[in-house]
Amino acid sequence: MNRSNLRSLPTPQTSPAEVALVEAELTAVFDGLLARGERDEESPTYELLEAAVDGTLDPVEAERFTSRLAGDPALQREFDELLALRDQVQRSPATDRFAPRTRLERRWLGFAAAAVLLAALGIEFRQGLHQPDLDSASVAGATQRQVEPVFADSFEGGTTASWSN
Amino acid sequence: MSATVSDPLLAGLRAAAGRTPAEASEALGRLLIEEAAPLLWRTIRSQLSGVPTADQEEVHSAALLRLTEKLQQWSAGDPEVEIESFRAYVAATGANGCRAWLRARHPERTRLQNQLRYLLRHDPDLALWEGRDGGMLCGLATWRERTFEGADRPETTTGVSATPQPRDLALAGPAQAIPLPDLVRRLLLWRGRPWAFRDLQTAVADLLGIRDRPLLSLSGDSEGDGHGGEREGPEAQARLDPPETRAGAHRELEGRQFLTALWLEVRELPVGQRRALLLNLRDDQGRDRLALLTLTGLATRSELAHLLDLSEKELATLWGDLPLDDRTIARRFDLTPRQVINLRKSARARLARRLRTQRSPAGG
Repeated sequence: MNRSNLRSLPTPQTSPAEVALVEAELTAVFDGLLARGERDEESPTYELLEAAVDGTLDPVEAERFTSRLAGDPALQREFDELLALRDQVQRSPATDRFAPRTRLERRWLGFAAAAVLLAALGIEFRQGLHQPDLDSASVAGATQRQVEPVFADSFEGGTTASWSN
Repeated sequence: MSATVSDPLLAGLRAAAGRTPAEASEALGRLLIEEAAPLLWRTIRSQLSGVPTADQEEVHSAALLRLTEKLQQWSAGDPEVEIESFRAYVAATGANGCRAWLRARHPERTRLQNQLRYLLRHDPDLALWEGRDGGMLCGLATWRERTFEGADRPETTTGVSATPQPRDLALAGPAQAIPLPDLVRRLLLWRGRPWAFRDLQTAVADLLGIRDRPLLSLSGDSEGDGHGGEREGPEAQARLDPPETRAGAHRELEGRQFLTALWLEVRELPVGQRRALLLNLRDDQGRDRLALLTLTGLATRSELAHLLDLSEKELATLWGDLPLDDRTIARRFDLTPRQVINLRKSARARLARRLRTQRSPAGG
């Protein structure tokens, strides 16, 4: 704001003594008003923040909230973070990226995936994994996939370190 | 003043207020001691469990003081104070006090809690629901309808580590570099079953290294978190203080300087708030005080008209009727009286916040 716009001199027809009296009266009025403002201040609820982020406040509530943001940098920061989170949620991957699995199941799936890969490359297995086991593991995995999630990016990362943890 | 009061506790108070001041005072005191104080304690102890008793007492005292004032205003018929259910109002007052305390004392954890809550409520793959014992549980949305043995039990009784290590979650880098939705999914998958919401908060906070710096305890106890955090400055401590002890902080500015600073802030208010505040500006006797502004030279009538988004002619027709009551303001600007009240409350709160942060030039 351009503070130079503010008139700071009394009007010519009012004496300095009268102005001082008026200022004292006004100060008392505004003192009371600010004290009440302090006491009435309510800590914002989660529900208020959520409605503000989702844009479901009515126009008057929205104006109040916007006004409050202007005077509360901490609240502004919190609001900005929630807006960013909302955008992340809206951009989040589709549900099927997260097919469900437990740690044990992930380990089995690791074996199964490795076996399938090796089989596809035509490498003969001499130890460990056998085709019937693979089949049963795959079927179990397919069944469990519907109920437990697994990180698709564990495969993309090319490591199974997490599966054995 | 509302015509009918259905709550028997409030009806008793209203009836006493209609008799003598002594009876009104006695009824209010009895209501506060017998009903409000215990209920406030229940609210505060449930929401601030683990907090030093002296701090709980401070929050309780501040809430009780605020409640006393509100009930006095309500008894006097102040239209700004609406109370329909005494117990609900007391509980809300207590909850507001706790919320303010937590936001001041644990700002980072409070922000994280709100973010997690938002995520769990808005991500279609995730869910937040109430467990059988009333505690909040969270997990994958598909877990909500399934039965998990002991899902309601706290971590300490399930023998499962409350917080995984980054390697448990297959994190390639620091947890801070992972978007929160991904981090939460990884945590829930690691967990493999519904989780108490508070335990998820703890796990995420630990992974993100969120530890609010210890502030000066109201009790004087050193409520250190063991991480050697620095103490906050006076501004943070001021946020800790109950509003009742902060009132008057703006008076670091004096006389003309105070009025000038305040008027600058009034000019910055949204127009709806300016109207609700200025057209109703009055002293204790209900006398208009807007006209005084023009005598100080802080504003001319022309400028006031501009700030109220009225023509000078429109303001001139209102001038003799000032201060306007809420119904008149509401009718003129197509609002409800409650909206006018809320706009004025917002204006007062904003002005108080803005003036609180200002310092006299000498003070820097």
